[in-house]
Amino acid sequence: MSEYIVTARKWRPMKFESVAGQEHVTRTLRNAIGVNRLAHAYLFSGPRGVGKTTTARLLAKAVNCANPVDANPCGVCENCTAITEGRNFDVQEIDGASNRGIDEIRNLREAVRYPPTTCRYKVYIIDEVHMLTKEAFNALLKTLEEPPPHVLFIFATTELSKVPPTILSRCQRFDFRRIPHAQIMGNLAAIAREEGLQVEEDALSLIARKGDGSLRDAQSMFDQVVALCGTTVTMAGMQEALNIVGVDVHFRVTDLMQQQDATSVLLLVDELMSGGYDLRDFLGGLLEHLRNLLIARVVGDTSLIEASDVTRKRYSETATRFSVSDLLRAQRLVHGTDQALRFTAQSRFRLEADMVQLVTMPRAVDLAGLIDGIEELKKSGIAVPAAAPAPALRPLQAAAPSAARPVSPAAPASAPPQASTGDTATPPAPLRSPSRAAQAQTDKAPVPAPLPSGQGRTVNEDEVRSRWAELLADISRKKIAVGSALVGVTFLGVTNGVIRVECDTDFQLSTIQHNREVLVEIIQSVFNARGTMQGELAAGRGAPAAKEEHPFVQTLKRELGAEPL
Amino acid sequence: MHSDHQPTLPWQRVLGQRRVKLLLQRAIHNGRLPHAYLFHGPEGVGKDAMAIEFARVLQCDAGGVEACGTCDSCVKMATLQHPDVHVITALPVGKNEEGGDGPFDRLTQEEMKTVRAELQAKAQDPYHRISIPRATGIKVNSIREIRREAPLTSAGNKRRIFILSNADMLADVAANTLLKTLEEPPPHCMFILTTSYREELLQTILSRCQQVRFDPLPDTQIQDALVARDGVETNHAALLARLSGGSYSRARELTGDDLMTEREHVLEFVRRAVVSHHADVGRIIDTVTDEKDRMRVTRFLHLLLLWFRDALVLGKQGNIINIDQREPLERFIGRYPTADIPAILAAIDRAISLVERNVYIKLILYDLAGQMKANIR
Repeated sequence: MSEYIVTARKWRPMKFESVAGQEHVTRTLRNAIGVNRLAHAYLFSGPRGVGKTTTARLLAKAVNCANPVDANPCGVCENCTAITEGRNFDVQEIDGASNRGIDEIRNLREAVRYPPTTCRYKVYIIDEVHMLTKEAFNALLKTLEEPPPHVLFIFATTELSKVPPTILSRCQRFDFRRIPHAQIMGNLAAIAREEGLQVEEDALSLIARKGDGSLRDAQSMFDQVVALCGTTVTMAGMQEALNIVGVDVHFRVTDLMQQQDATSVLLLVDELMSGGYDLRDFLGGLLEHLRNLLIARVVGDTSLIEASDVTRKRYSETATRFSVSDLLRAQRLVHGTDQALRFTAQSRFRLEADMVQLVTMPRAVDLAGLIDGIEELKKSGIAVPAAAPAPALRPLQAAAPSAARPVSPAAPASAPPQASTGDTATPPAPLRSPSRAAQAQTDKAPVPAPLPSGQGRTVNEDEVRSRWAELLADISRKKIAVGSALVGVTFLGVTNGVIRVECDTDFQLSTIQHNREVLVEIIQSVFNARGTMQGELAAGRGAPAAKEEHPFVQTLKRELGAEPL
Repeated sequence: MHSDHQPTLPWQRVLGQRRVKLLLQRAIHNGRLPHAYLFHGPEGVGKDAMAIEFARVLQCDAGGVEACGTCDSCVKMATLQHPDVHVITALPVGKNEEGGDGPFDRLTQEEMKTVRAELQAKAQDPYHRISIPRATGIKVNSIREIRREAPLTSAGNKRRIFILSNADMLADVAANTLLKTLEEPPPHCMFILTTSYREELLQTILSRCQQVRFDPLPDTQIQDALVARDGVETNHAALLARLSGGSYSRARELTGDDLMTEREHVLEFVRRAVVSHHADVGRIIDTVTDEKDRMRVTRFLHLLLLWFRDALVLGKQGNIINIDQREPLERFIGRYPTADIPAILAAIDRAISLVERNVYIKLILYDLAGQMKANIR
C-alpha cells in the first residue's frame, strides 16, 4: 500500500511564488538573496498554518542551491534534494519544543563553529522557538549577535510574545499574515485541478472560510471532504456529509425572534441536536448572520456580505425588521453563549436557555424614537399644553410620507398642517395642570384632533377589527418604534372614528399619544378613511406600578430631581 | 485496497455515531487515511471506543472493513497489548523523574498496578473512563517516548498507531513537543487524539489534525445499550438515558447510586433554597455534600441543572426530561412566573465548574442556594 500523504505535506510549496499570501515576506527574502544582503538571523512569526516552516525551508535551500533560478531553489541539484529529504548535515531543522534546554543550545554553539561541508551556509532552523527555556535563550544570545560568517539562523514561532526581546532585537523579523479567503480558495482550486478532483466553487469557498486564515486548516478540511465525498465534491454532498448548518436555519432563528416564539426555538434546538449538528458551528454561523443583518441595516449596502445575490437580497429585506440596538444586543447574547459553550458541561441546556432569551428578548425601541419620546415627555411636563410640541417635531417626518403618497383622496384633510392647527386649537388642553397633562391628552384631546371637518368617511369598528393585524404590521413597517411599543395592546372598539385600545403600560399610552399624527396617517393609508387611536390603561395596571416605585428611586427623584429615562 | 463496496457500518462495539463510522470507513476505502485525527465531542459518546475500534480494524491481519477478532493482531488488541497500538493517557509523575526517563520508569509498584489495571479495564470496556490517582496530565516523557518509538519500523511493516486519550490533558510543554512529529511523522504512523474539550488544545495541534466531530447519542441508543450491556431494567434505562444528556458514560454513572433519592434531594434543595432560611438549607446541603466523592456532588448538580432546564422549557411548552416530576415543576413555574431561570442555570453551570476546580463544596452550595433565591422573585 503506497502511503497517502495529506495535502498540506504533499503540496508544500517548492518555490517562493507558491507560498500563499505572504508576498511581503517572500519578495523581501528573494531580493535579499539576489543582492546578497542576507541577515544572519531571521525570525518568522504568525498564526498556525500560514507558511512559516515552509518559507524557512525554502530559504535554507535557496541560499545553498547550486544553480538558483531567480533566487528560487532549483529543486534538482544535490544540495536541494538532500535538504528536501532531510539528509543534509549543513541544514538542520531543530524542534525547539523537544530540544529546549541549555544543553542542547550548548551543543549547537559548539557545532556552529565548524564550516559547512557541502553547502555555502550552515542553516539552523529552530521551529517552535518559543519553547526554549530562558537559560537556553540566554545561552544563544552571544552566538546570535555575532555568529561565524557561514551561519544562518531561522527561527519560527506562533507565539512571538514568548520570545525574549534580546532575541528579537538580534533577528530580522517577518510577521506572516493570515491568508485571505480568496487566496486559500485559489490554492485549493489549484490542488483540486492537479489531483483531478471536481469540487464545486461554493464548496471550496466554504472550506476556505472554515480555514479561518490558515491554509493548513483549510487543507485538513479539504482532505476530510475528499475522503468523504470521493472525487466529486458538491456543496450539497458536503453539507450533508459534514452536517453543516445552512443559512436557512439562521434565518429561521431571526424569524422566530420577530415572532417571539420560544416554543419553536426549543424545537429548533432539538432538531439541531438530533440532526447531529455542531452547536458551536451553528452559533458561529448565527453570529455571522447577525453581523450580516447589522451591515444591511446600518450600511444599507450589502456588498460587504460574503454571500450569493439571492441571500444578500434576503438580508436587506430581513434587516428592516430589526432595530440596530436589537441586533447588537442579540449579537452580544449569542457571543456570550458561544463563549460559554466552550467550557460548559451540558451545552444543550445552555443553548436552550440562551435561545429562549434571545427570541423573547424585549425589542428595544429605536434609540432615536426614544429620545424623541423623552424630549416630548419633558416638554409636555413643563407646562406646554396638550400635544403642541408633537407637531413642532413631527412635520418633517410626517409630511414626507404623505407627500410621497400622491392620490390618497382624503390626504389633505389629515395632512400635518391641518392636523396641527386642529391640535393647537384644542381648547381644553391648556387648562390642565402640567402634571396631569399626559393623562388629560388621552382622555380628551385626540378625539377632535384628527377629525377637523367632514371630508371623507371615518373608520368603522368592523373593518378595524378584521384588519387589526394588518394595521399593526403597517405601523411596525413605517414606524418601528411605535410598532414595537404596540405589541400586546388589545383592540377595544371604535367610537366616532377613534380606535380605542387597551394598554398595559404608561409607556404604550404615551407612545400612542405622541405619535398621533403618524397613526392618523397610517390609519388613513390602510383604511382609506379618517381615524385616530386612543389608548386606555387596562384596569388594575399602571396605578400599582407607580406605587411600587423603589424607595431608592423615590429618594433620587426627591433629592436630586432625577427623571426616569 | 479493500474490495468491499462502499456503505458498510456495523463496528458493533461502538454505539451509534453513524456519520463518523461512515467517514472513517470511506477514508479506509478511498485510501485517504491522514496521519493525524482529532476525535472531539461531548464526554462519554464513544470517542476512545471509536479510536480503539478503528485501530483494531486497521491492524487486523484479515484487512477487511470489519476486524476479524481471531487473528493475532485482534487477539492482542483485545487486551490493548498490541505492539503497534499505543494508548497514551495522563500519568502520575514519578519520584525524581527526569527528562530522559521513560514515562513508567519512576512509577512505584503500586502506581504501575493501577495503570495496568485501568488499561485492562479500558480494553475490556472501551467506554471505561481511565482514572489514575495523581495523574494530572499527559507527561512530556510520554511524548518523548512517542518520538523515540515512532521512527522504528514495526515487525510486520504495519502502521504504528498512537492513541492519545483526552489530549486536552497535554501540558503545554508536552503539546509543543508533539508538534513537529504530529506535522510530519515518520512513515506508517498514525495519531488519533481524542478530547471532550477541543478549545483547550493548542491551535497549532488542531491545525495539524483532521478533526472529526462526535455527536451526543440519541436517548434510545443509550437506553438499548444500558439494557443490553449493563443489564439495566428497561424503564429505569429509559429514565437514565433521558437524564444522561446523550452521554453513555454519564448514564452508566447514574446507574450506580440511588438515583431516585438523589432526585428527591434535588427537589428538596430547590424547595429549601427558595423558601426557607439559611439554617434550613444547611441540612439538605449536609446530605448531598461529600467532600471525598466530588463526582457525586457534580452528579447532583447535573440533576439540578436538568430540573431547572425543565422548568424553563415547560414554561415555553417544550418537552421536558423529568416527566415524572411534571407536577412539582408546574407548581414551581406557576408560583414563580418571574423567576430568572437562565440566570439560575448559569449559576449552576458555574457551580459545576467550581466543584471540578476543587473549591470547598459547602461554600459552593450555599452560594448557589443564595443565588437561586435572589433570582426567584
